[in-house]
Amino acid sequence: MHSARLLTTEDDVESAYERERTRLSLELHDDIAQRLALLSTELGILHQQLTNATAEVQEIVTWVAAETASIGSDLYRIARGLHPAGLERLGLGPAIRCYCAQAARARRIAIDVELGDVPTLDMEATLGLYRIAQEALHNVVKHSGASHASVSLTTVRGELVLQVVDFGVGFDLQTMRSKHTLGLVSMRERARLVHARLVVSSDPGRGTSVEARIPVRQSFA
Amino acid sequence: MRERILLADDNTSLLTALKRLLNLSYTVVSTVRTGADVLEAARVLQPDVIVIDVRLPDINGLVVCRQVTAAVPHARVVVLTAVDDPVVEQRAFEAGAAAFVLKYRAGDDLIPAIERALATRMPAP
Repeated sequence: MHSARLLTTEDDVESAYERERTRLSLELHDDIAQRLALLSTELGILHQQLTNATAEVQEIVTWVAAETASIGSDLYRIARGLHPAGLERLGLGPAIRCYCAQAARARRIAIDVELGDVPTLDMEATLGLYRIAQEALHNVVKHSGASHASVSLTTVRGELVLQVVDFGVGFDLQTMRSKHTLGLVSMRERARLVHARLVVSSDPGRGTSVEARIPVRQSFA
Repeated sequence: MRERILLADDNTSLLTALKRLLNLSYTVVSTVRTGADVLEAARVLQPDVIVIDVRLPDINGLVVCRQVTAAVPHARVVVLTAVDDPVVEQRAFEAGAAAFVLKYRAGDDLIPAIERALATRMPAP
């Protein structure tokens, strides 16, 4: 009979959830992405040897190659959403800058990024702040109607401060709180788990600011 | 004369397929699976182009890129990666790469990238 540890706290559940996302992301990246690379290469070989084939066959091979590249691109986007591998490789600041660049390209919104001197945090805190930035930017893109936003990550008086500001339609904070909007709840939960303070400010017509503050020394404990 | 290519990837199936693809247009002088072998083979074989995967088992491909461009300056390096990340692309060019190719586009993009890299090469000593 298998013995299993019961996950009784929200922290354990969240941690298990992240581990599973990481596992899925690695599987997508290490297995399926490699197979797509192999498929693309074989299609390249086929394409070069098709000089005597009919135009229709050449068109089909070209379409399959383009579709393979498109699936590869989608796969990477999904894997990155599940677990941002760049966080470990690059660190929080560059990973946020990279996410902003991709969001700006995909959503046609201008996002200014200001990175100060960003200390190295432990992975849990790093991932927590990254997810808050992701959620805040998702809200900007989905709800604010803004054409311009800014993201900053700076150290102020012993705290690492993430700030995501948009200049969009804003909202009434009381109304939104009473509705327990998933995006806000998710950011608050993320902040709680890494012992960060989250402040969301917004007014109708005056944009929105999301600020998460985490003591720097805590992450080294 | 066909240009000579050194190819490095730790995935055996992909390495074999890439070799077949590149041998249609160039001569693949060697295939290797580690960063240390890239550095050794590049010094001995003096290839025109070195195609390096970013993720090698012993040394990061970008580190290998920096070292090999210093050791064999006439060789052009094409960095191959599964990671569609502008930061990695920027770091590849900072490490001396002449071109950057996403693996899942290798069938379409690798040969044009090698041609671009060859266009920037310096004459062999």
